[in-house]
Amino acid sequence: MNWTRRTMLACGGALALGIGAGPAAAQNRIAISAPWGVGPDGSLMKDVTVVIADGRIERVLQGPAEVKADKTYRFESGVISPGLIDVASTLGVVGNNAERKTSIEPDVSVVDALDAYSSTLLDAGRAGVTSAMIAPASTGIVSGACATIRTFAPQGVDRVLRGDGPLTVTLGPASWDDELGPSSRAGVLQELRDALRNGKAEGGSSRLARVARGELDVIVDAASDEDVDSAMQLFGQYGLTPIVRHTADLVETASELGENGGVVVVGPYTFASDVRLLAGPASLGKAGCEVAFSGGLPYLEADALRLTAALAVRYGLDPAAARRGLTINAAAVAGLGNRIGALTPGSDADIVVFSQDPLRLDARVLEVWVGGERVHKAEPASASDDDDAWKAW
Amino acid sequence: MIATFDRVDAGETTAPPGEVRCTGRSRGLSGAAVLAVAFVAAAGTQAWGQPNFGLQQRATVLEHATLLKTDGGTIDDAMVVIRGGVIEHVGPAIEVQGRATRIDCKGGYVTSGLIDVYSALGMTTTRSGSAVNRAFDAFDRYDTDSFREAFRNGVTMMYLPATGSSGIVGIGAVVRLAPGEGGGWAGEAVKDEAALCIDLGSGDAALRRLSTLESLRRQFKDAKTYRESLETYEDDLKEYEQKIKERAEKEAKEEAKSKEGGNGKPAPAEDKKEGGKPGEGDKKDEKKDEITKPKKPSPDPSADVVLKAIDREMRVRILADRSSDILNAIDFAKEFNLDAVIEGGSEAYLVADQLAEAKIPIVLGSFMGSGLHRNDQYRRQLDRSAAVLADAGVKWVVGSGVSDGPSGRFVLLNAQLVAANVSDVDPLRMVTRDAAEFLGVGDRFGRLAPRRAADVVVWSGDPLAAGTRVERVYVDGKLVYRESGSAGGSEGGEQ
Repeated sequence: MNWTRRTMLACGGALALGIGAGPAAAQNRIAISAPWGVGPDGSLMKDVTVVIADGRIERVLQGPAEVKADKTYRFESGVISPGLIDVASTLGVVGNNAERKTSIEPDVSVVDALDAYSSTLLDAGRAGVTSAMIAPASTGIVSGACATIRTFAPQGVDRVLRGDGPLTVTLGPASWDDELGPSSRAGVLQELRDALRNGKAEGGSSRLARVARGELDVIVDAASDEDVDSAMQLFGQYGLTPIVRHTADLVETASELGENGGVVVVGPYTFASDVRLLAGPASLGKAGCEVAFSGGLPYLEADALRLTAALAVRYGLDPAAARRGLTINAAAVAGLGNRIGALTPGSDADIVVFSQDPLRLDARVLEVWVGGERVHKAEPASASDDDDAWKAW
Repeated sequence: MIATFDRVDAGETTAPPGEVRCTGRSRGLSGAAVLAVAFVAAAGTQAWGQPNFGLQQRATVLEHATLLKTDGGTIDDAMVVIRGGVIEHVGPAIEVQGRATRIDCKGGYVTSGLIDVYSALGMTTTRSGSAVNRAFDAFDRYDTDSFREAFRNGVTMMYLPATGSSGIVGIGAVVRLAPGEGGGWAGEAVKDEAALCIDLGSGDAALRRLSTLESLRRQFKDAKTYRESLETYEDDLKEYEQKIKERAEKEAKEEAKSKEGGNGKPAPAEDKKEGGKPGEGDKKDEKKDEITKPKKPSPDPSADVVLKAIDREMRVRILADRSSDILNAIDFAKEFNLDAVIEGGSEAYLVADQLAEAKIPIVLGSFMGSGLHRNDQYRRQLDRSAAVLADAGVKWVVGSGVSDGPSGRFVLLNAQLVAANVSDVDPLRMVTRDAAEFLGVGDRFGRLAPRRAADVVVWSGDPLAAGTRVERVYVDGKLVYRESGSAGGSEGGEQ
C-alpha cells in the first residue's frame, strides 16, 4: 500500500513515493513495525512496517504485512517517525559560529566549526533529533553557509549530510554595524546587490555567483516583516525565492509569505512565548505556507523542538502540518529532501520510534536508528508508587 | 474574548463566597420562576442579567460528552449538568428539571478545570519581605488577557506564592478564576492563607544564605517568645483582675462595716489597728492602690502569621534549590514541627532519602526552561529529580513555576512532559484531582462529580492529544471562555 501522496513544492521531485519495489538482494534486511507511523504528509498512518536494507529505507508497508527480514523489531505500541530535524540550530558550534571580519562572508562554512564530540549532540539524538541544520550566527549581511549534520553518526554513516548551504543572509539591524559595514537597511541592500552583481559578473563557482545564478539556496534570517519585504524585493530581482526564517510576530505578513509558497522556518517557542508568536504557524498554515521548526538547540532543552511544534499546534496549527515541520519540511529547508525527513524508499534509514504521537509531550523516545543502525534504546522509565503516594494527602 | 455572566444567584440567595452552594433546593421547582438569565455577548465583554426571583437557577447541560474515568477508561455519551455553581449530575443522560441551556458536546471531552500547584499567572512583580504580605494582594484581577490564555488552555485555578528576596516573603493564596461581579475581572481567593512562603535564597552567596536561615530561626523563636509574653500578660491580667476584685470586695466590706459603725457601732479593732500606727496604715493603703495593671505586649502581626505556621494551621512552603538548602529546610521544619513543603528543588534528587524520611513533599518547577540559558545538564537533573524522588517514596508534584506569568498557561503540557519522564503518571489526574488535594481543596475541586464546584472544561477531543482545543470553560458554573468560531450546540437556547 502506498503512503498518501503529497506534492511538496520545496522538495521538488526528490520524494520517490511508490512502494512495493521488487525485493532487492540486500543483506541484513531489518524490519521495524509499529501500530502507527508518520507519513510523508505528516498524518498518522495505521500499522506501519519500515524495511531497511543497506542503511536505507527499502520499503514502507501499511497494514498487516509479512516481511521477510533478517531481523524484525515489532513494537506493540508506538509511532515510527522519521528522525526529527532541528533547523537553524547551533548544536556542536556554540561560540564558534559568529564571524565578524567583514559584513559579507559567503565563503565561511559553519561546518568547519563543528565539534563532533559535543555532548549536546547526543542529548539531541536521544530526544529523537537525528539531524540538525546548523547555521552561522547572523552577525553580518552574508554570514556563511549552513550545514546539516547528524547527531548520532555510527561508523560508516556520514556525520555531515551537507556542508555548503543554504547561505545565511541577514538584512535587519542584526547585520548593521557602524564600523564593519553598512549601518542602515538601505546600505545593506545596496551592498548585497553589489555583491550579487559582482558575483554574477565574475561567474565561476563562488557561492555568490551560484546564488546569482539560482543554483545555491539562501535562508534569510528575518526578525521583522520589513526584513521579509526587503528579502523578497532583492532576491526577486534574481528570480529567487529565499527560505525565510521568521523569528518574530508574523501574523501580519503571513499572507504575503503564503503567496511565495515554500517553507517558512519558525521558532523556537517556549512556555513563556507570546500569544502572537505562537499564533504565527497557524496563520502561515491558513495562508498556504508550510512551516519548519527551529528548536533552539542546544540553548534550549532537546525536547524544545517538539515543544515548539506542540505549542504551534496548541495555537491552531494542523497537527499533520506540525509533524511535517519537524521532519520533511525541515529536510526541504536543508536541501536534503531526498535523503532525510520522510519514511520513503530510498531515504536514509534515520528513524525514531516514539511511544506516542511525537507531538504529544508525554511521548517518550523508545529507539533511535541512524543509517540503519540502532543507536539508542530507552531505559525503562522509573516507576512511582502512585496510588499509595497520594493516599497520604 | 472573556464573556462573563452576572452572578446568577446575586441578591438574597447569594451564598457566602467560597461556600459550596446547595442545589437541592432548586431541584424540581416550577420552571416558571425564572432566575437571572445571562447571555454571552457575542463580541464583547459586556454581561447583563435580569432580576433574580430567587427560585430556580437555569441549568447548563453538557450533552453527548466523553468523560475520562479515573481508571483511564472513557465514558461515552455522558451528560454533565451544572446549576448554581456546582455540578449537579455526571453520568448517563437524565431528564433535567427546570430551565436549561443545552450544549451538544458530541465528539468532545469534558473534564474538571486544570489546577496549577505553583504559578505566577496574573501576578504583578513583588519584592515582598514580610510575613504579612499576601500574594493575593499582588494578583491583578483585571489581567484578562492572561486569564483568556489560561482558559484557552483549560486552567481555572492556581496556587500563587508570595515572592521576594529571601527569608519570610509572605502568604501564598489559592486563587480560582471565577468571574467577578459585573464582568471584566476575575479571581476569587479560595484560600487566601494557603501557605507561609519562605525563600532560602538558593541563588545567594553562601554567607547570605546562612544569615537568611539564622534570621528565619530568630523570627520563629521571636514569634514563640511573643506568644509567651502574650500568655504571661494574660496570666498577669487575670491576677490583676483578681486583685482588683479582692480589693473591691474588701473595700465593700469595709464600707459596709463603716456604715454599720455609722449606725452607732464603730469598728474599734480597725480603728485601733490603724489608729495605733497611723503612718503605717496610710502606707498600706497606698500600697493597695499600687496594684499595677500589666502592660500588654505591642501587637506583632508578623508573629501572628508565623504562629499559625508553628501551630500547623498554615502550611509552610520553602523555596530551596540547592541540596544544602533543602537539608537546612528539613532541619528547620523538624525544629519547629512545621507542615512543610519544599518548592523548586532542582537538586532534590541528591537528598531524596532525607526528604522521604522527613515525609516532606516537594513542588518541582517546570521541566522546561523559559529562557535561553538553561542547558541540558540542568534539564537532566530535573528529569532525574522526578524519577529519583518517585523511587525514594517522596511525594512530589510539578507546577509551572514562578519564573514568569505566561508559563502558567501550559499546565497540562508541562504535566505531559513530566509523564514522559516518570512512568505511571497520569498527566490529567496530576493537574486536577492530585493538584486539588495537594492544595487542600480536594473536597470542592479537581473532580468531575456531583456537588463539586462547577469548574468545567469542554475540549474538542482527547485533552492529551495533539490538535485538541478548549471549546468552553465554566468557572463557578458561569461560562468564562468560548472558543471563537465554535458553533457549540443550541446556543439559541441561551438567549
